[in-house]
Amino acid sequence: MLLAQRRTLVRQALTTLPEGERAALVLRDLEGLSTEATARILGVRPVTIRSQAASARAKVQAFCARLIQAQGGRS
Amino acid sequence: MTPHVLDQLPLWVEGDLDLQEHLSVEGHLAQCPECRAASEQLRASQAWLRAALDSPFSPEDRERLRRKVMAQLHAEPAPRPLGRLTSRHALLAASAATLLLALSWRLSPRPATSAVPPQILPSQPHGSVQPALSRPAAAPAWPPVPLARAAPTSYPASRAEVLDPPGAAPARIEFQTADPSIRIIWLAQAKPLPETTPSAPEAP
Repeated sequence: MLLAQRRTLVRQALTTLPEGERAALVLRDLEGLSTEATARILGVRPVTIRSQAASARAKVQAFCARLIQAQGGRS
Repeated sequence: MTPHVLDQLPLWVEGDLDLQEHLSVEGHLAQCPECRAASEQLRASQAWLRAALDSPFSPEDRERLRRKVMAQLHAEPAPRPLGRLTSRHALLAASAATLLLALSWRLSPRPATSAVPPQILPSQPHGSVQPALSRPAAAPAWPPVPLARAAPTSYPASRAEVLDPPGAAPARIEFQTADPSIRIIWLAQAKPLPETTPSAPEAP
């Protein structure tokens, strides 16, 4: 899949996430901040960040897998 | 075999488990193909996520950009805050004020003996105010041209012209400053002033 297509897919996936999960995923995984720093920025506890990021990761993976599968089925 | 760890994989993949849990999951993954496959998928998904949103710029590119921006910032002069006169503008304003004072003094009715034609500087293509200083004898009662005294040599007014004879229509003085975009035009209307001993105007 082209990089541009991947970007679009990933951005779509991110928009399906609730705000808290999206923020935790972006700060933690994409910006590379620590759990503590992310928690401080978002004003929540680190345990909240961990669970929100984990939930976001699972959802993104499921979203992408579903779409790729659907595309693969069509082509 | 230990229970499946599918629920823990999203935490495991980014190292959000404590050490004991982490080792436990790793131990299970070594034994369970199903969980291992899921873990690899999740890892790939995370790598994909990062690659898809990653910037095309490398850290070296960012550092180079940062250095260029800082160099440019240091090379540029600091912006002057509005409202604060620069020394150049202050000199210009002071010179103009002095000139106006001198002109109003000059245009006041005076005894014939002290009538002196107003200082007329020769029109020169690249004139500076220096010629005024070279003719002190021609204008004994006329105060030195303020611009010559006030302005430093690095900032001369290039030309000053008195276009009208004094005492008639409002005197008009134009001078082109060193800055080509700034031209000063003064109009002074003669008004009778109380007879006082003429004195040189205040130096700026």
